[in-house]
Amino acid sequence: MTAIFASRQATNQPKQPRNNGLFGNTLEARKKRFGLLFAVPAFLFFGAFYVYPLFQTFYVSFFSWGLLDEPSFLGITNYTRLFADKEFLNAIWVSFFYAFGVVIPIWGVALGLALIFNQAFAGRQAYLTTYYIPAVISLTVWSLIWLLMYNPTFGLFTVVIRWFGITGVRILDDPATAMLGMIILSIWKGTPVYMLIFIAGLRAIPGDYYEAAQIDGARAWQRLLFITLPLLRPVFLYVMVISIIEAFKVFTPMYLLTNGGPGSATRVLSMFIFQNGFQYLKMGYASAASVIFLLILLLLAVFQFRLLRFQQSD
Amino acid sequence: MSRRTLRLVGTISGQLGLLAGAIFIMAPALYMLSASFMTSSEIFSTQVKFLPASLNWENYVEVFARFNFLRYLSNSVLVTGAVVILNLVFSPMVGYSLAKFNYPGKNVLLLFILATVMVPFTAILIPLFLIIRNFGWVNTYQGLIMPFAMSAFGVFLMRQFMLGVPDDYIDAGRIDGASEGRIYFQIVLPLIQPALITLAIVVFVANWDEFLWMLVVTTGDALRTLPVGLAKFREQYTTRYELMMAGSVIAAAPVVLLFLAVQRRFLQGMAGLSGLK
Amino acid sequence: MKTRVYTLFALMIISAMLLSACTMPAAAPTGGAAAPVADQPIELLYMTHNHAQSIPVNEAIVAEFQASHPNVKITFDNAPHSNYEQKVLTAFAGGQGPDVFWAGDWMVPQFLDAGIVAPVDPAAFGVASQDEFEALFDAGALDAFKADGNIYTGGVSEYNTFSLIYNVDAFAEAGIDPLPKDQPITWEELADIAAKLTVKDGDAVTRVGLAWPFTTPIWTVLIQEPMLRQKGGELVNAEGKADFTQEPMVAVMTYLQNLRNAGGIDPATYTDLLQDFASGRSAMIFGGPWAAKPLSEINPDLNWETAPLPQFADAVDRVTTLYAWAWFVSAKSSPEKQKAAWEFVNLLTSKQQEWWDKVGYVQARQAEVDGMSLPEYYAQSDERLATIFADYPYGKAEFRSTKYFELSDIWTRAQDRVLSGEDVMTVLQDAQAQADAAMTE
Repeated sequence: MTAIFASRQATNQPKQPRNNGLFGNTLEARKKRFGLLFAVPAFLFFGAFYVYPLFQTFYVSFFSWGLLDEPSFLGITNYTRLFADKEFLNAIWVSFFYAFGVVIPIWGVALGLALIFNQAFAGRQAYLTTYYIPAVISLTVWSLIWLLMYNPTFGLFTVVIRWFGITGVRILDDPATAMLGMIILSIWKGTPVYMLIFIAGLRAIPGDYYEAAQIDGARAWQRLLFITLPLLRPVFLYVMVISIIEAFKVFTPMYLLTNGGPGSATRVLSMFIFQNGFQYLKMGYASAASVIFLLILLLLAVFQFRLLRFQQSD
Repeated sequence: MSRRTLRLVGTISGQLGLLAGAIFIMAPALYMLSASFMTSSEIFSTQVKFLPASLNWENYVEVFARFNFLRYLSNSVLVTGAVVILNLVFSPMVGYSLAKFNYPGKNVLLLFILATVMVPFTAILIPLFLIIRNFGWVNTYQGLIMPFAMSAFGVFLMRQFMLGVPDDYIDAGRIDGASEGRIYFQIVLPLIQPALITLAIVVFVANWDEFLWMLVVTTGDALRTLPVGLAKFREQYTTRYELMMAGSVIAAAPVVLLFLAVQRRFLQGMAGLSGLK
Repeated sequence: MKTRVYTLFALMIISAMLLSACTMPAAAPTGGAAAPVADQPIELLYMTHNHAQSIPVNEAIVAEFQASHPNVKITFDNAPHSNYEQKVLTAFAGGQGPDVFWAGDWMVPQFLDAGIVAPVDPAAFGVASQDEFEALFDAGALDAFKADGNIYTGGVSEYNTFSLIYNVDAFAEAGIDPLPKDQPITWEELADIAAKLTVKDGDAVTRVGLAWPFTTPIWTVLIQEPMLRQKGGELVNAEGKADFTQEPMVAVMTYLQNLRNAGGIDPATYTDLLQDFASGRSAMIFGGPWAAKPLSEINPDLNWETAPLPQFADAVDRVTTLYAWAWFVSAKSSPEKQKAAWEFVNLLTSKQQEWWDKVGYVQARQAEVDGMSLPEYYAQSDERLATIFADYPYGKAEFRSTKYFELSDIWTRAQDRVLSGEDVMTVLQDAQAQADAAMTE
């Protein structure tokens, strides 16, 4: 375990020899070399394409840059301005509300559906395809479909909830419900992908464990709780971290359906960054906001890693 | 009630539930399909309309004839296909390395890889464009493909699945004298086949829908992909909903076909083990 | 172990710094600085947004120019309208900016600030000076593009005002007479009419009286600014400072709130301006000459008419709006490219007939077509357009500011809040605070 994720303990071990274990012909050394070798593509790829942009974003955040002209140095002014900017703070709040409003139901529904699809039943493949379809449609088109569906008079959504007796709903018009509308369409579209991932995770659990448990007389819910869920933990960590990142980055529905409105009720942080960068031509300001964005997600990820005890198999 | 009847009731209600669920889930997509056959006045009619009066194939004809969709489709297949293949080659390698080996910088690398997707694409768009320009790849297929050749999501996914591969199998391979490479190809990869398929599908769908990069790196229509084509229906003063729906059906079809093709293997489970049903 | 980690990290940072040192985000020149040689091969990049009908017209003109100028090769690129600005900006920031391109006149302050557009080269248009160049166009059409004695465009590609377009049948149903064509009605009268035109089925609105394009900030400005100016106000003063709390603005926002309360407008019902109107979901819209063609395509049976833009009863002046898309030449291109580019723009602006017949774009460069002046020619294709053209002389360009997008967003957010029923003064004071913050840069 490296120092980053384990709790720091005083090491009273004698000073290590200079050899970091990469050299020599021991199994350990060979393994280390091989591991490093297989990681080389990552160094090359991310180094070539993403080190510079990330660094550039960080760098530009200390400047004022209008995209069309030369940057001018500002020091930390962008950051101080950000924290005094009500729109920015609103964007953070709105993003959290949206992101968690979307991911938490997704975790539950995706897992539930995956457990169902993990069983064999008639028509399983056909059903799996239909449940997967929302993921396949482009987000722009999906958003526009929902724009039509949310129409307070003619929309499919409005018509259906009228059957349930809910009338007078103007989802996108009301600051209180506009974000709810975004959340609904995002859950709808986002769940299938995670469902697939959970299914893959369930499929990867060796059947022996279940057989052994069954022999020991464990009931279905016990098998679920004590075998399935713990063994799904690495996959669950993936779903948690990635779904939150994705949820924070989304802004197409907000942009297309309400343009951040009504007021600023749906103006999420990623939209704030886009507008400041490419419409207001304040790329430095947008970069500073991106750095904060990165820090937020990094902190969330580290927190989740610790929560699910990021480590080798249990 | 006998156990058999109970089971029958369970099955029937289960099937009904699934069917209801499927219709519910598919409702927006079915509406899209329906709208793709409507005229715009039907979509916007003042009478609530969810089914077209007749199958209006003109939308599809117009999409292909006036909007270059065949070109976009073939470009999408080329670009996304290449991206998926590259991901399938490299992401498991890195994931395996991160999951099962210890070397300096391992966790920093993982965090860094994740950090690359923890910024909105808007923020890194211009620097990335500068890099591609410096490579001389503007308006080339490489320029469209290479920035997606690996993905943080792919690497992370592979790592998590590799973590679940029991060390015993790998060690057994070592004891038998197999090289690390052989262990990777013949033991580890087959064990995570569902995950590989998932990776392929997820990367495919994500890249198929990639719009902004495909727009910015290309000059002119020759290399543009489906999402750019779809965006054309949002015109200056109005949006051609009926064409957009048709275009979207065309765009979605290949992905659904791909999904159908790999489903079987996907649901097969861990090869070589007494898997679940 | 730790040292290794840090070393690795340091290596990555250093390599990043080296890489970034090589490619700093400067707007690099797109052309070479070689000495001008006659007939040296020149490559131009021409960018427009993708208004569907305009693409064949652009392509034809490109072909014609290349035929008459064999040493010039033009690459024609177009991007979806909704992402057009992003595409152009990224291209410039990446050193691959277009040489000739369309842009909206509201972008001019930002372009000028960055020095990215070149002043016009009158010689390319066959005239001796910029004044003579200006005389080629309708009076006032190029005002938005003037700065420090220069004109920074080669001509307007699309030139619009907003007038009222209404559904005659809907009027008849509600028992309202068609509107006069020579005299604008008042906003107050419009409010009454809009309320009467709204049709409800229970509490669901099946037709809204007046469509109000709620989510698009540019439209907020285009409609509200004339209203503001009629009341004697001006959003941005000579120093560029925005004032949201001025009396005229309060009056306009209050009017909107009342319009909403009476049911004349309804934010939730808006989906698509032209489609809603063409299908009868809205009974009145604001539109320009560009609306005629799409409306007839979407719904040929629609019985629509035009009327002048309403004016307040106590308006200090009759004011409508004016906005344009125009051709710009990049100042970052080499001199030879710029010269060729201006000649190209000259050709583009002399195709008035095509731009109107095939695309519905109103041109500002004067010409005679079939023996008629342009306005006569336009009106001849559809008489209803004459009313819209009559509104042009009263048009004033939108406010000029490098903060155009921020201010229009602030304006739209304020509008949203007012339409949801919040107190007008509070909303405007918040808007003022936001505008002040935006100004400090």
